[in-house]
Amino acid sequence: MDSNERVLVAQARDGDRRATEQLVRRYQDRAFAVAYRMCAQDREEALELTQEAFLAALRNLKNFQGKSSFYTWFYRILVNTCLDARRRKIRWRRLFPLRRTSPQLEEIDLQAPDQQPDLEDTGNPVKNLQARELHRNLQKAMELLTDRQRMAFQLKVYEEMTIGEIARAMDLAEGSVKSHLFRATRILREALADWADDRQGENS
Amino acid sequence: MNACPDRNETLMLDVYGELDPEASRRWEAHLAVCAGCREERSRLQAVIGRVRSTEEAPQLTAEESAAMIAALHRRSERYRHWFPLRWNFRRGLPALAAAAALMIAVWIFTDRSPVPTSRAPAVSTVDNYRQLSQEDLEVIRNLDLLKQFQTIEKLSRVVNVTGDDHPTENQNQGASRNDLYEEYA
Repeated sequence: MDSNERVLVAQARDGDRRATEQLVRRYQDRAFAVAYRMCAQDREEALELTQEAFLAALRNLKNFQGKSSFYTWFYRILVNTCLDARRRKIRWRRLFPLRRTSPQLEEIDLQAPDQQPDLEDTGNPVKNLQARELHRNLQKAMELLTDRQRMAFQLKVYEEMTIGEIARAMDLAEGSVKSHLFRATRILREALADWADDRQGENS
Repeated sequence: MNACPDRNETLMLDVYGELDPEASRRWEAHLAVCAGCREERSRLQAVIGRVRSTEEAPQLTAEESAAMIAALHRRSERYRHWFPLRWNFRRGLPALAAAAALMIAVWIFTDRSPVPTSRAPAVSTVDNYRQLSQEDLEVIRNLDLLKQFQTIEKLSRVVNVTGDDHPTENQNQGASRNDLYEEYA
């Protein structure tokens, strides 16, 4: 943990509003991205989870001893918050199978264009369409993963954390992280086999 | 062509950039002679590349960011407002524990006072019955003996009537004894 962050954490612990704000702004976007991908890109739910994670971190700041970086410590809270929310949602759906708590993936196309997830606009309509289709296929494939597989995969691929950092964030042994990550990779590799072959063709 | 099954972990670690230099050197030497592993590595890299580039990282708008920070301040202050009460509760906990211990002690001592039970009289009654029956037995035994004495007295009276006109002192005693016997007859 760099000295600047150490100072920020100490000041935030003492109730310094500006220090708290700086600390939150430092990790806000990344935390939101993790939550967003974990809850099937439901923006409202992702905002709520991100806020809950930060609130838990601020309330427990007195327990943060600085043995690890704030980033690792906070990510553990974030991961637990997201996984707990997923478990609650699954239990809720089992109790009330007809009730939908978040828009399903098939409903994304029915939403207004400005509500659909941002995809890279290549300027080529065909490529844009392919991108949307890939995005849809990817989301469906991600739903095949367990929560831990999905979390390990996105922390590796999107957050570019090392296996050791992921293990600390998820409070798992490195062997377990490897198991989740490799299994997730295999599942996505099978689900997106056609896209992988296309990409290989483009590269050759 | 499939990758070597015993190289799966190495393949994955390579794709994710987790191989140490020595393991990486050995792996590159293997890839040079194994087309199956080379192809599988390319496919995995393509999949991961596709996944990464599918969409841009979601960003918070300025309004969302500001709203979140404001909400965090608000909720943190509310939490700190309640926290002093919790702290006082912690201070009062030893007093609560002492009061609970006192109540338990009172309960223990009040409940341990001896309570007379209904069995006690039954035991003495049984003993009384045993005593009475023994006394009765003794009376009955004495009664038999006294009846024998009565028989002897009657016989002696008969003997005296046939052979003697003057009643003896013993006969008088026998008569009074008879009165006593009749009590027990």
